[in-house]
Amino acid sequence: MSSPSTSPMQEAIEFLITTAQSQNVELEVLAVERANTGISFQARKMDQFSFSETHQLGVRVLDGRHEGVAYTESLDRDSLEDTLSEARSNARMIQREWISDLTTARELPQLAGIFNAGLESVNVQDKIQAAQLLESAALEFNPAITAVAYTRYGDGSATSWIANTKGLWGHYRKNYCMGYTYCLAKDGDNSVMDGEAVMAQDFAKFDPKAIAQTAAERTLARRGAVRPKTGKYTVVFENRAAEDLLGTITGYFSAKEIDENTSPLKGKMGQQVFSKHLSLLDDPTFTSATACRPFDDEGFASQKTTLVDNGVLKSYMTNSVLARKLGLPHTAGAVRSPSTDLDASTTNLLVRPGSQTLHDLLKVDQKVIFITDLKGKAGFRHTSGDFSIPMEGFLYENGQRVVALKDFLVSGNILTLLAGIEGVANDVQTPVGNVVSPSLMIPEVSVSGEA
Amino acid sequence: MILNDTLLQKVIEVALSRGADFAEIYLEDTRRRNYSFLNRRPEKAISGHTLGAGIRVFLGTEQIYTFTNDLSEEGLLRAARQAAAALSASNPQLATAPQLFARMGSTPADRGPGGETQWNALRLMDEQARSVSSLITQVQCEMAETFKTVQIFNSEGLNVEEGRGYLSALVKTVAEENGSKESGYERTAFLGTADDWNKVNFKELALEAAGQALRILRADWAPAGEMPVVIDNGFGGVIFHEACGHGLETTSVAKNASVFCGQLGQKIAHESVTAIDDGTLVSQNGSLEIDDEGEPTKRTVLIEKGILKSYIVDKMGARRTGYAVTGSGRRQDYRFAPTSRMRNTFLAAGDSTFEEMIRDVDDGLYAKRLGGGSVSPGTGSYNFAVPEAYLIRNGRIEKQVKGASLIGTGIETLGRIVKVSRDLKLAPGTCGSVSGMIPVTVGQPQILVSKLTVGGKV
Repeated sequence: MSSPSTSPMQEAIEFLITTAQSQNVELEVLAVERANTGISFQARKMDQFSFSETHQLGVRVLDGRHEGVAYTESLDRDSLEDTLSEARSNARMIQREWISDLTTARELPQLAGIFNAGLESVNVQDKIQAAQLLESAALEFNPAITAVAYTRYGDGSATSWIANTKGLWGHYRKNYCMGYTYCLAKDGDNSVMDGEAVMAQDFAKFDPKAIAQTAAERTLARRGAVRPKTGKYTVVFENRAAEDLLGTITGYFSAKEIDENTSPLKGKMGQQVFSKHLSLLDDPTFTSATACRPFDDEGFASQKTTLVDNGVLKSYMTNSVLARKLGLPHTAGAVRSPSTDLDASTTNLLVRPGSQTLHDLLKVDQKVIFITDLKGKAGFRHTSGDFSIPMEGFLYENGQRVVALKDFLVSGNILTLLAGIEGVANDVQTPVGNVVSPSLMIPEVSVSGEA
Repeated sequence: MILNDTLLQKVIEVALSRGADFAEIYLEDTRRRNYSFLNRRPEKAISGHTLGAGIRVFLGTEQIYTFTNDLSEEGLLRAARQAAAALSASNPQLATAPQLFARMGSTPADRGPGGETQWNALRLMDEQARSVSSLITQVQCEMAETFKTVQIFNSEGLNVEEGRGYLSALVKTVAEENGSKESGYERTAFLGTADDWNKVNFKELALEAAGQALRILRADWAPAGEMPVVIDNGFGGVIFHEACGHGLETTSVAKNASVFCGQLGQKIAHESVTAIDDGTLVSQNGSLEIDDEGEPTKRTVLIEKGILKSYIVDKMGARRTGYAVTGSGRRQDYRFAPTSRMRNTFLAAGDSTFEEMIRDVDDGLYAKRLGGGSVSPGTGSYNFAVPEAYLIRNGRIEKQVKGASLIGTGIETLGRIVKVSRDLKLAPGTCGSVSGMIPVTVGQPQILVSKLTVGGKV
């Protein structure tokens, strides 16, 4: 089933499948091959240049109710045999309450738009120039920018393989390029920092100068920030901040968390869990976001899943095992890396855009806090959904920006917060991760700042 | 020895062939075993083998890094050629015979039949946590064993190898009452191999994780505002790690992206504050014999009685700043070029007592258990979650509160530490930064900060 000219990875996978079959062992192989470049400049000199070629191969052994995993980064025969033997030994120690099945051989789909051959032939000098611009264009934008604290150009390609002893065999390739710039500016005796990050699949559309200038603009706008008075405010989360916020709840939709009793959405299927303005779709075929893939990590074709429709919980994300165990629809949501066990999770989480503009949302109340950044999410308690998170943003009065805000925390419960959404904007951007959201407006949010 | 010296010398020569003034190969061979127990039964067992090489060249302050899993002669030479080609003259010293540093235990290749020790310990933790209360509805326990062999070979004649064994065990609990859910978490981590599991008090870990979930379940929300805060010893030290430690790493200092730039010899903290970063402590999570650049590890006094005495310096940081290396070049694995990182970082014991501190506070917070946090070294702003906290009223600890966060800036907080107790404790942690996730220790005696911003609920 492999092509006539086989790569070392193909040979390794074929060797494992054949060996497992000869030992009457049911086996699934997942493998990834990666090539990456990273370049950064500091004080207008190249600071770091890195490139790499790596691979990792993992096996999952099934033997009735027994299941074990092992992985390796060495593809020689001895290492592969050791890996199979470790996985078998691990399987003997684990007895499931259910029987897992391997996916039977089938035609695996491809997904157009996840690999751009042009990106593989970009000249190294052009990449270096892009990295240079990510820093220099910020420094040259305004003398008030004192330094660029963090900046990097990066690109990468990954080939993912899946195969099993029932004859399943497939692979797909993805690539991307990205850049970020975070600037520092003096603000009295203190410094302020902000930045911009962009991902792209076409180097021609990757604009390092624009990234650097946006980073510089955002940093300069942070000057003169004050603490807001403690109280309840109407809050608008800027699209990027909304994506960051929603990233905290993706795990709640995993059927594994439902099974393990750690998701607050357990037992709420069909109920109104969020505001009627919020609809969430899981879409692994959305190629602009990072979690796109033609098939899941068990080898089932990707599909779109409506998770929340106008606030009503419609589905969890399942793999074949959890769907059967919990009696839920199968959503092809299997997630596994070569080094981990089978799991289920969201892929790309998309918020359905509304019809209002961001400006409409910013003028809904006399005073609005526009949140542009979540400063670390350590204050989020996953199991309860309670949170207390430091944020940054701006105060708007009657739709006009008045002053930058700093050193305040937004507190509450994430489920209650999302149930309170009253406005969804139409300003979705090209994502830099796997959550895609427009700006969101929520009234009566608890903000602690100055007494 | 992972690879022979003749091949490594050849790789170094190729790496230097286009004008680099320093070249280094970092080889890593790591074996891992993880055991997990859930829903009262063994949940998963995963074994792993990580094998790779990182090749680094310097020309002045420019750094090129390549890494690969292909440890064949051809694979390594290709990576070395790529590194060399990325540069725009030098005489390598021949490496001496390899110097072997302490191997911390034997490799974890042998486990008892069926991993009996591990599964018994996991089962014990599950049972103990559940025995605390019927409100405990979920328990997840994990044990992990890692054994890492590193070999570092460079153009300055260095040829060293070290074996490092790591153990960690954790318990996560969920408690439920009247539709509310809360979680508890306790972990231990230290240097050792599977033979050292007998040093862990598994029962204590389980009881603490269960107790925590139950206590938080019944707590009210923390108030918001500025107030004096007493931070507990042990993991409370994470506040120094985040608020100040990262800003002392040359990774930030060399870029002028730290609020501590240019402050050496200056008073940056209250005189009660002495802070140390020490890689030499026995068996602590951040201890090493050599760092990931092959430098012998050290005890580095960072702040002495409030005066900044040293930064945390790696090889490239030394080139960029002129400060001497402190044996602090660390990395997660061969996929990362090393940078300056903390090891076991703690505030030294002072002369107050915990009771005195509590007595001194009329209206404040006792932060008993700190959770995760983060810092922006450029601005010095940090934030921490405090899963377990108590109100202090009129010199007495009163009711428990949940949902508290602490926010502030490193320099401001250092100036406001007004009391330091005699009771220093250390606690293991994992630190994430530009060279990946690495094992560290944090620590401190109890401290009283005269004013901190506490985020709770309005």
